[in-house]
Amino acid sequence: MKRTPLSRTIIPPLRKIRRLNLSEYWIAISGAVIIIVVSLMAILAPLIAPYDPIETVGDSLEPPNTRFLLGTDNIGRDILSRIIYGSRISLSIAFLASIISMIIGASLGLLSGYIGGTFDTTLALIMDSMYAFPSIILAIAIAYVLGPGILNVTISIGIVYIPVYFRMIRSEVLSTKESLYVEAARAIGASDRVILLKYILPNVTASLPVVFSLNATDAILIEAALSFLGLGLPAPTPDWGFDLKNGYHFITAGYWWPVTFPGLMIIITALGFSLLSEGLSEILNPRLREV
Amino acid sequence: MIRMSRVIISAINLTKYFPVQRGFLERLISRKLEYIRAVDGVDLEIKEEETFALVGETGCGKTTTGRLLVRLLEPTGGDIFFRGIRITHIKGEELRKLRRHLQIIFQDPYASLNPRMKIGDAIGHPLEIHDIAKGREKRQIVLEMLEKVGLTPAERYYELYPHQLSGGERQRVVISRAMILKPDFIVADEPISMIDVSLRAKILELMVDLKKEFHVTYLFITHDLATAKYISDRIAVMYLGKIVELATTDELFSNPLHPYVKALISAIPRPGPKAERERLLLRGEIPSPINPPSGCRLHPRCPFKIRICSKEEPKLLEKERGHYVACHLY
Repeated sequence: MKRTPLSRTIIPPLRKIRRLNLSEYWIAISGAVIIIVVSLMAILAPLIAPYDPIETVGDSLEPPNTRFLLGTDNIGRDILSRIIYGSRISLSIAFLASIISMIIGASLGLLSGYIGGTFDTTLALIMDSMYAFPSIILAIAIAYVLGPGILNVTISIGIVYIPVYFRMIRSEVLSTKESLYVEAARAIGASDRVILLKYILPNVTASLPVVFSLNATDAILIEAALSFLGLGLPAPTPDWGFDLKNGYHFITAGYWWPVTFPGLMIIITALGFSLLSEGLSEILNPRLREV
Repeated sequence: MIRMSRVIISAINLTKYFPVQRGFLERLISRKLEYIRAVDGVDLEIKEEETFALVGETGCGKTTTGRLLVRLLEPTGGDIFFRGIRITHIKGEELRKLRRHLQIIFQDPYASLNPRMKIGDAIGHPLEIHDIAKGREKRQIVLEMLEKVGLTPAERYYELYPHQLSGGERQRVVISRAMILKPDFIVADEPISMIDVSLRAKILELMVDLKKEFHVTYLFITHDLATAKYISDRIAVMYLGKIVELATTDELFSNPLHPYVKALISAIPRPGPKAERERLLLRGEIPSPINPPSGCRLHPRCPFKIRICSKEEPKLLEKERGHYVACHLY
């Protein structure tokens, strides 16, 4: 860390802040590209989808051909159109659920870590007991209680991830609040609110985007799983998880396309979020960037 | 020098005990709580515009004393007065306002700056907190301060983050942040011990310059007697949570009374092969501050020990004008 010492007469060679360099951040960029493409697909679905996703437009289980690029499913719906419309559901649930858990989990973690005492112990106990459940089982339980529907699925996935943010932020706060610069902030007369917002918060969020993207990855997978298990969305809605469930009955008979393409979309989107999480952590942390 | 006689900050019988952290099982076995007696009855008076050095070995409680005086730690007992006002237990808004007058410079310049805050914002933040200046005006004050501490070109340093600076530069930033409020009293907690040796003199010089300009009072905490001799007007030497000797710098070096202080001074290397001196060596190590020795805390190590030393604790008494010592020999 030591640089050229500064005397009053010599201007030190200051390190230039590097510009965003495409080749350096290819991981984040490839992740972002995937997510942008899928997002565009979701936004522009009515324009680019060749058919109505819930109409029977061809024969049952037509293999991929020039009319139906990815084939049709058992009741003759165009799989390509269903995938395109399905991205709307997947993405909106993933984003919303992740935002819900991030806001609730991070703010609780921040307060709990900073205030400490009984408040912290109680909250940590609740969060740990939630965390003890495998996420999919907890999601199933909550989704079952709430019943099917987009909002309910979003809430159940959102709740499942609160402890992840809580634990991460809380542990960071616990170490950050003991740091010398927080004591220095107290010494210059900063109030608790200022210390939390200006000195602690910016120093505990380094891994937030990473966790957010990982969370979104999982949210997509859990959403697919819930739909697969029939706890997700009602029947004709185009949804990747639902289509997987619908298609897997026919795979043993050699009809591979109804299950392959929705599955691929789930994988690609999840991969996009993972790549983004990996890359973002490097870009957003100036200390990592220095190396 | 007339104003020197006014006391700016004083401590009376100041104590700070830290409970010893124990595991769950240990707590079941024994009920007795143990304490580290970091500061155990310190009395001192610091006068306006002087530089008062607090010297002692690691773990003697000098840093704790400094933090107690600027109210970063809650004292276990005793009292602190700032300009005659008792500040031992003030809280909340009152304490926040007081902080404007009492500042601290920490030892570790790498850890005492918020890594996510630009240098300019870090130095200017105290101005915002105390509603002194905002926006442009703040920027102007900060830039002037950067110039004063030798971080030029100031405009450039304003925009940098702490990790882009060296240790010496960071310490200049920390000093600026403490000085920008024009405080009356600054605790400098070993401000140069973590800086490259080649830069230490520069930082000390800077502190002396700033003192002249802002008329601040320093409590300079250090383990290095030579530094203390260079910068301070008066020196107090601490041993195991207590002040053992307090005198003006010249007096302390020319006429040390306490055996511990004699030993410290005799350990300072002197230039020249012919420089003659008597080495006074103390036996053993510093005892644990959890169970300090009875009576005089130095008695197990002291070569001049007499009977009373292990029984009765010596008080810090004025033996000569302005020269205080806590020892049964005098």
